[in-house]
Amino acid sequence: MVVAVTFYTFVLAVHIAAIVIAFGITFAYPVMYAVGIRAEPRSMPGLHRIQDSVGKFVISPFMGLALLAGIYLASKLHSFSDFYVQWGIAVIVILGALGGAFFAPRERRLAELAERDIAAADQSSPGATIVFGEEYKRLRTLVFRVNVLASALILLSIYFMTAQTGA
Amino acid sequence: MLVAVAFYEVVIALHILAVVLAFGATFAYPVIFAVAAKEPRSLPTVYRAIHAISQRVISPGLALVVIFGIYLASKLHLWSSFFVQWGLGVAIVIGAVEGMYLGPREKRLIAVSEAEVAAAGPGGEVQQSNEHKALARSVGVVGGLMDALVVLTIYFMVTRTGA
Repeated sequence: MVVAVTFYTFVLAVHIAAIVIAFGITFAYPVMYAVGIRAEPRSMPGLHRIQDSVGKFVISPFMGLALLAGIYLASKLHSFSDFYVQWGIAVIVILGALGGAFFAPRERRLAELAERDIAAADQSSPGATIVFGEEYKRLRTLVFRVNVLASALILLSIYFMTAQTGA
Repeated sequence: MLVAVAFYEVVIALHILAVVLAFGATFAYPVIFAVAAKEPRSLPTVYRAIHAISQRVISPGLALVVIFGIYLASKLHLWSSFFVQWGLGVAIVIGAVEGMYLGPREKRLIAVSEAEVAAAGPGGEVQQSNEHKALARSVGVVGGLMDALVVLTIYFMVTRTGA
């Protein structure tokens, strides 16, 4: 068995691994929230704080790593003019902006709103069934829809990268 | 812009997509557990969510990874290559560990953490038992080993080690 690996191939592996690590969890969020809402609505503030922390400590750093590795690969192959490279860079910039400017503040707000609704329910009757307010439901629906769009962008990007569309 | 894609290239894309879906979530577990540990009352739900992700995301994703991988190895006549044999071996190992080791322990973690929350009562401090700590540690260590296997496999696949 001959193991001859160029630095380029190593960086390609790092690029793909970073994509797997950065974005994989986003596809599991719908399952996580479905379980939270159904099994124990009181855990929703915690789940929103988890999502905020995952964004900061998993998604952002590994997205940055994927971008750096991608820039190296595009430079090495002189492929900045290729559609799939331009698309990939644009999508990472969009997802990074969404993470910082959209998801993070709204996840924190969702945690606050969920806590407020739980406290209100407990004040009227301790241990009562939690019914979340309209503001919380609207914001959660919005975050869910944008997450679906972001996931679709990720899936499309993986396809373009693999097929090297426009190369 | 010319878009001419062979069917096997579509399958490669699907293979990689399935890897992202199946294995990506587990890399976030250390952060999830670290945050959840600060709010012990949310732990039963977090364990339930982890178990649901295993059943509804990881297992079907793993099956897709294997199906697409088998197609690709057959189409490209790569069955004798090390990276293909390694990939298939790792898929079997991860499937077995998920089903026989992690799955039952996740269920036990749900039961143990629910009992602890119930014992604390409303507003009381939730105390983690030694069983809870030991189970969480073993799930964390084995989950970390599975993540390392996934990263190593991605490396072997990309470099086509032994082709």
